[in-house]
Amino acid sequence: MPARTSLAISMTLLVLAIVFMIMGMRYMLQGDEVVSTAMLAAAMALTIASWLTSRSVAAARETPIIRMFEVSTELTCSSCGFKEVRAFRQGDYVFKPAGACPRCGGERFITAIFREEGSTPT
Amino acid sequence: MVPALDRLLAWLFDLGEGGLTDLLASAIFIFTSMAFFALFGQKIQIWLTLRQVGASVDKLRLMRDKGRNLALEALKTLGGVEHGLEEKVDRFLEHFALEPESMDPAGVVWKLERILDVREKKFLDEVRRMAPKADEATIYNLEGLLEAATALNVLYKVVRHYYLLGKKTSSFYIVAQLQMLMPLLMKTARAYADALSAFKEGQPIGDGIGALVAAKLIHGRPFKRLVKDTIVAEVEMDGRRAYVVKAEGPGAKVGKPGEAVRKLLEELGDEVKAVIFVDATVKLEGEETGEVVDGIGVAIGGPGVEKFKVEEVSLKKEVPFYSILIKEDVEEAISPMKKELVRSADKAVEHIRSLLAEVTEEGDTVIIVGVGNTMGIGQ
Repeated sequence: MPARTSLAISMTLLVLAIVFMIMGMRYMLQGDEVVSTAMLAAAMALTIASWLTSRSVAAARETPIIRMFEVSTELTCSSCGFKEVRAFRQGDYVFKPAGACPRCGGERFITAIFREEGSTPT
Repeated sequence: MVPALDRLLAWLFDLGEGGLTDLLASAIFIFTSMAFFALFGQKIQIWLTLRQVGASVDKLRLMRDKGRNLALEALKTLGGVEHGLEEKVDRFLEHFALEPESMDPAGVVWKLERILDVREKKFLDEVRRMAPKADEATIYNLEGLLEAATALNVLYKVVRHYYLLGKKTSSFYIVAQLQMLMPLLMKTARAYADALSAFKEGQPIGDGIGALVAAKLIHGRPFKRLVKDTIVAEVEMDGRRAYVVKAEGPGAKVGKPGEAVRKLLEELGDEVKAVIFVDATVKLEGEETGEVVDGIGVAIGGPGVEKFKVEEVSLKKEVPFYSILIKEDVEEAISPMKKELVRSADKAVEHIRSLLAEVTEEGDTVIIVGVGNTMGIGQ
């Protein structure tokens, strides 16, 4: 079942559970026997809703089988220090000569190849 | 008799009309539930656990298949012969190396080194045959890619073995152990899966941080090959003469840093006042990626052969060994290098400078070793 569908069903069940609960409370105040049935129905609806929600959240968090990273290449001019960052190209390596600097004409090198991602501790 | 018992029970439990039927029905329900869960509780738990582990096994199979397909794709683009390539890759993925016998441990390191050398040569030759158009650096990268795919294959097969064994024997303890280990095993598998794209493209990986630090020191200076896949350059650092060692890039090589240090120490004799190793280390949860720390000892990872060589020579030459370690997660070690790690290379260079100022004097000779996989890093 797609995550979106299960989330929609769980929301409907949640609403249903709230309705059952209100009904149960009303019966309880009236001293009616149906109170336990309404509460049981509410509990069941809540259980299924929470299970579906956790399933859809887990599905949304799931990472792809093979992650492809966006990798960048940093070019630096050894004369004027001009830096340029572009997408990684096959054949790039750190300290590979990268032609003339567009600003001063000096010699440029690849100085870093990296992927950008959050730095929070895992 | 029955009406009398009915009345007695009704009096005992203060039941109204029809109360006994309710009581019996409740008792039957409770006892049936108890009996059901007592008899089948563990079966239900095994079924639920197996379902969970089964989902992870499926994911591992997909990772293994993706790894194999990526390797095939890469080999085909580099001139791999269409006919029989799949069989060759499948044979590669099933390859194994047997460890030497260690009942008499004397000399086992050299036996292990021999096995590792033969294995590496065989793997590289195999890749050369599979990708005849690839250059030397790409051959090493492809070998790394196939090694990562092999690791995924082995991991999948071992996990599947225990999963099927648990299913066959219905042993809760086998299944429970597997379930407990699953998060760590999946983390390892994720690391290998992330490594695939890096090796395919030839991008620097987290483990290459030591090599990057050495490359920063060497860049622009002449260097020579010292031992297999390993280079050395003489660099002047704050008035000290530093011999900087690293694997020869930009192919996915780790070189023989231990052998290189041993050779240098034998050549330079008592001149050397300190040997500094720079390497990546696994961080603990909660620690920052790229944190640089100092320590004592030989920081060379892997099967231990290279570390052993340096420790052996340290008994003869009284040279102190220092290590500068850069922290990273297992998943970061073999996936494309993070920006934080690239930045930490400059911090590591600063650490080397301050360590040199503390433990050596101007005019001294030192050896600096950048340990790690030098894929995507030149010199």
